[in-house]
Amino acid sequence: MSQIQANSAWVRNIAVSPNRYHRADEPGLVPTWWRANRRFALYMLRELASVFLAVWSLRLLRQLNLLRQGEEAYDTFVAKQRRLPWLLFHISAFSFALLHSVTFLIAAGKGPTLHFMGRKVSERTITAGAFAGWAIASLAVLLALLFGGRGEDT
Amino acid sequence: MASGESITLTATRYSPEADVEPWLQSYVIPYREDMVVLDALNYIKSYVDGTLSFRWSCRMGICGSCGMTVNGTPTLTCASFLRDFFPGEIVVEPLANFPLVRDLVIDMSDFMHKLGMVKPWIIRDRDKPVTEGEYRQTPAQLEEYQQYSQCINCMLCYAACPVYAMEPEFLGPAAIALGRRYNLDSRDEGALDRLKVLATSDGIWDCTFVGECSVVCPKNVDPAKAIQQTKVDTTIDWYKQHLLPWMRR
Ligand code: SF4
Ligand code: FES
Repeated sequence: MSQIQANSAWVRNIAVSPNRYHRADEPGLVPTWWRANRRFALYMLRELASVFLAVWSLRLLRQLNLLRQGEEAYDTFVAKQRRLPWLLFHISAFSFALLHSVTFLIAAGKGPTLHFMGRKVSERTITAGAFAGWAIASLAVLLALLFGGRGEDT
Repeated sequence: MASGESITLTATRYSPEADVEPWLQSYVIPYREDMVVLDALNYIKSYVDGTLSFRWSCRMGICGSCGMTVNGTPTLTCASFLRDFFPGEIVVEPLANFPLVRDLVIDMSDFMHKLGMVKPWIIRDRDKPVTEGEYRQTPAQLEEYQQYSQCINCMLCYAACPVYAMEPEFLGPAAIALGRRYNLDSRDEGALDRLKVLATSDGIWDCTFVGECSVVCPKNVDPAKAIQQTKVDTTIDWYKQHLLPWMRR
C-alpha cells in the first residue's frame, strides 16, 4: 500500500496556492486543479473532446442505420442536421476533433523510438512526419469527397 | 546589484507537535538580485527564524533535495532566482502530493519505495569475470538511455502530476523513466523483470499524458516521453507475442 494512503498527515494540494491541504487518506485532487495553468486547461479540453466525438459517432451510426429505412427517413434526418443547434454541435465537434488531432500529433513525437541509418530519429522529425501524414490523408479524403461521389448529393 | 531593497517571502509552517494544520508565515528579508530562493530560506534560517525547516544539500542542481513549490510551481529552490519574482511576493510551500513532515519538509518514502520497485541498477544474468574487462558501450548505445540517466530524484514530477494526486498507487514519472533508463542500457539484462512493474495498470497505463512532469523537470529527463515510449514498445511486443509469435524477440 502506498505511503500516502497509509499516512494520515497533511498533503499539499496540487496546483492550489497558497497553502491548501488535504488529509493524506482523502482524495487528493481539488475540482479546480485544472485552472492552475494553461497546460492543465488544454489537457482537460483534450479529454472533453472525447464526449463530443462519442456523440458525433453515435449520430453517424444512426445516420447509417437510416439508410436501411429508405430515402425519405434519411433525407429528414439530414435536413434536421442543418438546423442551428445541430450546426453549432457540428462546429464544436469539428473544433474539438481538430484540437485533439493537433495535440495528439504534437505528442506523437514522444511515442515511437525510431532509428535511421544507425541514428535515433529526433522527436521533432517524427512529429513533422506525423503532421505531413495527416495533411496527405486529409487531402486524399477531401479529393475523394469532391471527385469520388455522385456530385448531386447534399 | 540593488541594495537596501527587500522582498517578502512567505513559507508554509507546520509542526506536528504544535499545529492542527499547516499555516503561512511571512518574512521580509534583504533582496539581492543574485540570490536564489534557497539563499533566501537560508538567510531566514540563519538570521530571522532558526526554526524554519527545509531540505537542501548541494546548492547546484545536483542532489535533488531542495525541491519545493514556489508560487504554485514545483521548483528546485537552488535554481530559482529572486529576481524572477521581485518586487512581487514569493510563496514557498512543500512539494504537493507528499505527506508533510514539518514546514517545507515532505515524507519521500513512497517515492523511495517505488524507485526500488523498478530496480534502478544494472541486472546481469551472469557477471563477467573481472579478468574479461569492463562492459564497453558505443556512443550510440550510450545515447539510447543518456537522457533518462540525468534524473536527480528531485520528485518535482510527482508534485506536478494530477494522476499521482488522484491515484497514489501510480508508479510515477521518475521511477518509470529510471526503469526505462536501465531497460535501454546495452549492459543490462533485467528488462523483463522491470516490465512486470512498469507495464501494469499502476505503471505506464495509469498515465493519461498530462505532460506536466516533463515541463517541470529541471534536467530535461522528459519522463512523459519515457512513459509513452514504453507504452508503444510494450504494445508492439504484445502484438508480436499474440499475432506474430515467430517475430518475438
Ligand atoms: S524525472 Fe526530472 S523532475 Fe522527476 S525526479 Fe527526475 S529530475 Fe526530478
Ligand atoms: S540543493 Fe541540491 S539540487 Fe538544490
